Amino acid sequence: MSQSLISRNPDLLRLRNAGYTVATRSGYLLVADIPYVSTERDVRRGTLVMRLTLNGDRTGVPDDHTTFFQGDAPCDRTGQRLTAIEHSEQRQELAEGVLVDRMFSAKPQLGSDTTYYDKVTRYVDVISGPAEAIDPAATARVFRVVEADAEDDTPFRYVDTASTRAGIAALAPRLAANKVAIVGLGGTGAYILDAIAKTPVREIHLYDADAFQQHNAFRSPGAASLDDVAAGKSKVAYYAERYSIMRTGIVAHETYVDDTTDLSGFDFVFVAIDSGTAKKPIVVMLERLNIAFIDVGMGLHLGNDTVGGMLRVTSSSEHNRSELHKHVSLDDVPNDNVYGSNVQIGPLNMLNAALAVARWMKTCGYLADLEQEHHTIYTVDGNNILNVSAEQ
Amino acid sequence: MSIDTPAQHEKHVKTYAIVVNGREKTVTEHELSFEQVVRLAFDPVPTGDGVAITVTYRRGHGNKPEGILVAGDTVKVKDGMIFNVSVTDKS
Repeated sequence: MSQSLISRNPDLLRLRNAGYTVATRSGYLLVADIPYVSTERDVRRGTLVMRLTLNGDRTGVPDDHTTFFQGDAPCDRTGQRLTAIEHSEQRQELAEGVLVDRMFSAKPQLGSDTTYYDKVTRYVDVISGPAEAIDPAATARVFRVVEADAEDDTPFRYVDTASTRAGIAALAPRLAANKVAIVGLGGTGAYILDAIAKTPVREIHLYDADAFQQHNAFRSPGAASLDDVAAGKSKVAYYAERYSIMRTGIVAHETYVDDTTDLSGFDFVFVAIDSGTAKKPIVVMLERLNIAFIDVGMGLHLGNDTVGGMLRVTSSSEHNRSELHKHVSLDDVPNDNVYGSNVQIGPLNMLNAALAVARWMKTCGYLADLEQEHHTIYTVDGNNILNVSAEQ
Repeated sequence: MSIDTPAQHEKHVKTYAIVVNGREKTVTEHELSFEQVVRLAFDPVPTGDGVAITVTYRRGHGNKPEGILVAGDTVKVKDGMIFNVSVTDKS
């Protein structure tokens, strides 16, 4: 049963977005979970089955007003069969895996059905109306989970209905990079993973040697359990397990990145580590391999009793390598808790990550990008964002 | 209209009340360099060839009231101007 045909056809998508359980099989449209009243006056569920007019993978106008039905004879609320719509009763296999029990024929009041949406909703009104009269909760619009199948070319274990619902599924391929790396799974790196995991990037490689500890849970997306924080697992193992629940392609590397690490083959890299000296060989290597990357960092301090500071997102690409060196520390600051502190705040890690991921989405041509900024600073005490672009 | 004598003039040293990393500071310079702003925030100034310090300002003068400063830049000071100075290297 394929969902990709549905995602690609507005008429069928409209049905799915409305909550109907739609699928296609061997040229038939199946709409399941249709409630109806049986002759025994209880509410049961059946499936409408209609021949699909197809031009390759584009649906057209329904070729007639009839439909098949898999289920018992639907009735009115008193248990009397809806003879007005009954055409014939015959169990048959229309195609492999497409079994039906009867056929209905009901013409629309005016003209003919121009869309499958109209045809389906018309039959649902007649068949499910009596069921809803008996049980107001009985609806065909159940919003069942749409699982992904082998035909859907996707790393997700269930279909990204957010993009299809919003009508932006056509843009999603722009985010389908082959390999993205996240170096550093601290607070910011973890939130970057949380966002990237939900895009169609095929492989997401995580690099970090640290263990996931109790304090990490408080600057981490989702909710770690007591067992999680007690387990002593590495951060990359913890996050790979969590996010593999939703999708494939997450690869954990329990190591820091240094000049012996092979980062060739990555389409994009997010650098989200604390140490300036550890960052230097990574930046040198990414520049040498000509890989586009984003470096993030925050600097917070305790002012007069409140936490202030700044969040930074800096990009480096083949068009612009030198700018990053003006803005990013490639040395460690000695006694650095005098100059700021180790203070990091979960929501600020999240904001820093969100700004970085949005910048990546612009580089992919997915989000609008009129400024093409390569450096961005968010200042906490002003809530303002400052950008540096090439023209300046 | 009287002309100020040199002695009277010396008492009127213009000061500016600015904010650096959430703390109020008073300065007499009409223009501050990147290095001077950093020194207002950190003493001593963090050193090292590769250390990059992030500086932003806002509520400055009309033509460019807000922006980012890098090494070598200067900015005109205004009363109430707000600076933030940090090494933005934590993740």
